[in-house]
Amino acid sequence: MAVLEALTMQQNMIHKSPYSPRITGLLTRLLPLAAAPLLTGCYETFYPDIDTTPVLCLSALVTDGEPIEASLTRSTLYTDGNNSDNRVPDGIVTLLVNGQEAPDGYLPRQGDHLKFTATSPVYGLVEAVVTVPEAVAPDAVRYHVSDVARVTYEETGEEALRFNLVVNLEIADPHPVENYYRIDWRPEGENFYCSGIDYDAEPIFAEHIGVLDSMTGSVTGGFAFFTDRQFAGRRYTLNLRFNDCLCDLSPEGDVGECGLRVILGSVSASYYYLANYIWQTSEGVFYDLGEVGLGDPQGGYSNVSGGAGVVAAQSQTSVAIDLAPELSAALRQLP
Amino acid sequence: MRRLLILAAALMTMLAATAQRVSVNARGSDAAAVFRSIMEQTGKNFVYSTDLLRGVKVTVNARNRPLDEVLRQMFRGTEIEFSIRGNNVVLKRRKEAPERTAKAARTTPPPLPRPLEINAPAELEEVVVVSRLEDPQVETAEMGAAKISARQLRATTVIFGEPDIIKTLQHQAGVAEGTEGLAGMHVHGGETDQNLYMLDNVPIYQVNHLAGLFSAFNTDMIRYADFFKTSFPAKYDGRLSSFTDVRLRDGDTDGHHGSARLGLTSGAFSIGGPLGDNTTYAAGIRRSWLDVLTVPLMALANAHEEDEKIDIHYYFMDLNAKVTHRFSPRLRASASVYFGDDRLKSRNEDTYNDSYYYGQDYYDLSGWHTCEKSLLHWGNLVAQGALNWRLGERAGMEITAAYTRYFSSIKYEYDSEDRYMSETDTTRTRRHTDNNISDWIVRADLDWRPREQMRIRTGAGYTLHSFLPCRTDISNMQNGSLLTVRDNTRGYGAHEASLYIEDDWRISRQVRVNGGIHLSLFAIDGKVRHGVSPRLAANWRPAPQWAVKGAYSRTVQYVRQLSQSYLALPTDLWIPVAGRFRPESADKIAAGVYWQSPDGVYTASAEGYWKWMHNLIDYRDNHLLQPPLAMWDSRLTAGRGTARGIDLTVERTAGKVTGRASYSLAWADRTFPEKNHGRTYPARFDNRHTINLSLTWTPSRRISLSASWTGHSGNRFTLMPQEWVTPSFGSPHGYGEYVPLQTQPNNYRLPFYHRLDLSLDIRNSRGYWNVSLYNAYCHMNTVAIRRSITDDGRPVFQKVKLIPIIPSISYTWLF
Repeated sequence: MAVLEALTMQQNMIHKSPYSPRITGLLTRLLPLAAAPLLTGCYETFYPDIDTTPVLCLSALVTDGEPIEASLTRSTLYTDGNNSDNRVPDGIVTLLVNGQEAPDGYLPRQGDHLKFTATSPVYGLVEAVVTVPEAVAPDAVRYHVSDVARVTYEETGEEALRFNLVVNLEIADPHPVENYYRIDWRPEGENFYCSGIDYDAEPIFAEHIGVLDSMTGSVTGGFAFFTDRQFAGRRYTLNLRFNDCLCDLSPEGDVGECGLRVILGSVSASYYYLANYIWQTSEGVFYDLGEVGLGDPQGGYSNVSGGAGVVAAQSQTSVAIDLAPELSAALRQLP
Repeated sequence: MRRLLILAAALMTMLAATAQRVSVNARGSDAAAVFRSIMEQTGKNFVYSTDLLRGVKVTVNARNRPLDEVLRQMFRGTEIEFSIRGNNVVLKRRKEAPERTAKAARTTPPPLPRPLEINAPAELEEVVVVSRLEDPQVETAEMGAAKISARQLRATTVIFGEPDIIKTLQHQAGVAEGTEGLAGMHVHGGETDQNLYMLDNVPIYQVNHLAGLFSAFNTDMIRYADFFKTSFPAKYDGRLSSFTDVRLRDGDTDGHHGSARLGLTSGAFSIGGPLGDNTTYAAGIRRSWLDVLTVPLMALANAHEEDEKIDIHYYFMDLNAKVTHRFSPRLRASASVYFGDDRLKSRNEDTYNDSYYYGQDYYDLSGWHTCEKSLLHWGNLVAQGALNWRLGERAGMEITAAYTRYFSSIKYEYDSEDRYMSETDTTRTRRHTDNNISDWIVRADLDWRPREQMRIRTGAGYTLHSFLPCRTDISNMQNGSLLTVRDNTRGYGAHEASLYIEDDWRISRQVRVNGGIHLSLFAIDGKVRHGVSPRLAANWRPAPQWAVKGAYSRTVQYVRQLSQSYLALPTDLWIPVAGRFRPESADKIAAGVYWQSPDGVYTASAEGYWKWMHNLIDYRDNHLLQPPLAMWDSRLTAGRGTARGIDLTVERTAGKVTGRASYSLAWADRTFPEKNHGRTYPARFDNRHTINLSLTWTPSRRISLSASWTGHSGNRFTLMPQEWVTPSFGSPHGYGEYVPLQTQPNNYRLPFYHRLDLSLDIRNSRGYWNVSLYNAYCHMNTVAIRRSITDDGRPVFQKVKLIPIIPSISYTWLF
């Protein structure tokens, strides 16, 4: 996005935002009508008299081949606000790998079964387990650029190519069991800029969105996780659409190093559910209903025994895509 | 007086025209039972006030005699006189009671004089002898059963003044209403889907309109409803907690009568009458007219918006039609259809012609056009045909074929067209979710009275179920490239067979027993589940005014409704019990004491129960995190529940002032191995104390004033006072948020709930006005607790209070 801020207002460089204020959902307008009598409701602040016991909050993201870092805090009262002290100075976290104590300098490997245990003299003991998932390398990668146009930075006079990009990533889901994935990307080199993946162009990124969510204006909002429920044990081709990408041209007018790296992560179920929970709290209609007594309130997702914290794992593969040849060919076609 | 003369003349005319013949043989039998026999032979309805026949025994022996002669014989020597008006036999008390004879003796002193209301056609449908619950509670073996008349339906005040059978049942002792204003019904600690609603004995699955604000039953078409909540006749099974059999009215034979009603939210029209000599019809339609309001509102809103056009339509509708034909006094056939649906349709078009800065970014939206459409459509279709065949004088048979279907469809479309210079980007998004359940039903029921003191009911049925729990399609087309994803949900077919037998046996004057068994088979996915549901209820009467009862019932349920909220939404699914799940079942024991005053005006009862529910199915924790495309059963877990309590009821049923007071003390809990670490927790509607008071004052024939007060311990709520911070994992998506720490479900009890409802009926010669106040003293009850932030930034909890006083008015025209 930073590069977009640097662009000047040259007519052929004006861009459409992928995050423009899309319609916020008809039901958001309908519900007030349907619930007109309920709108006369009111709120009354009160302080519930209810016993609480703080619990340990253990979180870690285990990545294949990388050192493990865990965080240990504790739960706090909602009414204490975000400034409450949640540190656990006397907490200890231990790790078992496949039933054995983790050796010094341990680096997780795919298939390792990890058990985290956190203890504190004050807050007790919590546990969590996670298995490092197997990485899945894309079987095939195809890409296609379209709508290529030459644009000019007004302030510097430098030129760039503006284009749309579609990357087709073919995945062979390894097992007929439930797998969870996450897509990420980063530019390769310093010449490629893009605002990101258009998640609406690939239905699988919207599989967590219910139809009522859609009608109340819920959007994918950059939700980059998906499951293999639609293609368990089979192949599936992801359609990754990048809109309004830019590739700087050299002073000589050539396409320089320009490309991107698409990262396919196999993630644990806990990572997927955490992401989905965060999405649901901001976009899910049933979470809103729980807030007003028309559904059950939903606590934060956790796979730690105490109910606080998330221990997740991931393995990643990536594929580099060099756009220079195709862009160079397209550049030659331009007038 | 003039009106009485006209009525008498009409009755005389009708008498001459109705020389039907009947055969009856009864000795010291309940009058209600004899009426039932006559009704089955003639198709006549019997109309009388409920206190008129209390304790009346009749003796009559007639073979193929005219109806009026048989009736004269029946009532000879009693204080009851009759008149035949069209399809109705109207009974009332003579002005001077005659001497009693040995043949017909009233066992109770004559009650207080009470005017009979026989003029208004609507009243004629209120008390007819077809319900199995005509006898006083002290005489029957059944426990916790009630017959709800059309008058009771009208006397219950509900939001917007719309008569509603479910909200009437919510006032019964032992019934928790759930979330205020909605059509929830939690009977003796059960769930909403554990109640079986039947329309003329055929199951109906979706019983709500407008998210539960209204029920799906058009009360103008209802003759009465039988409600069972404690002990259950063997005929009924398939749900754990209660059975409600709603009976539709037949058309009149003496002319075309009907009503038209206009209320704040809907209008209704019903009519019934003869079609030839032996055929009657009845039809009714009810439709909301909220969409009539929204059209001008939308037009106003759109008039001020050049670029945005919104169009919203919502309505719900019920249609009932019933035709009854009498082939002979012994053979009668009927066919009926019910269709009810809700439809919410909306469309929003935006044309953007502007551009703006957001920070340093410049956004040009010109040339962008979007169109968003949605359609939610859900409802029921019930069609049935029935053949009633009288087999001699002591037996009758009914054969029924029916089709019932619940359907739900949600469609969402989003189209976007973005013209940018010479290019045009188009996006088409489609989401479509379907779920439905269809049943084909055939059934035969036999009612046999081998002896005067014994009545055997038996029957068998077969149901072919088709389930489509939830099928979702998502497709996206962008610039001609189409991608479609469909979930793996498939349809399920299931076969259900049932057989029952029930014997209601009056062993002696003091002892009456109702015993039976209901057997069922449910075959799905190559597996056959079976259910054995024994039933036993006994009544011991140590004194004429007293009864002591005990009962045991086992119930089995093969289908389950999944709802993600307390609103009745088209996302609610009916699913079969399949795969790793076993049928839900419940064992219930109950005992009670009943009293009736000698004049039959007052009744009182105390019932205690204990219920164990097995294999209950519920959502797992965090089930909402499962994508909609996940198989529905992956979101579920199984457990158990218990409920126990005491229901106390005192009622006055006759006189200018009638009313009821009830108190319930109850406990209900749930235990799921995969929820709350396997620990038992209270049910959501574990209302410890519930008090219902209702009073109706009828100072004259023209005016009736009703008041009802409801108070109960607050519903339970999951209040999460702690929070923790989610890990960010280096994600750009804003993790690192404070989220609630999950606690024991339903750990907090909301404040005591109470409200007063008032209703006034004012009659005139053409109909009646109804004026009502829901929540008359405007006590806004707490329905939830929410997290909030005060203006000065302090995080606090707030009680959410929703429904204030709601006045309503309606007029019903009778013709």
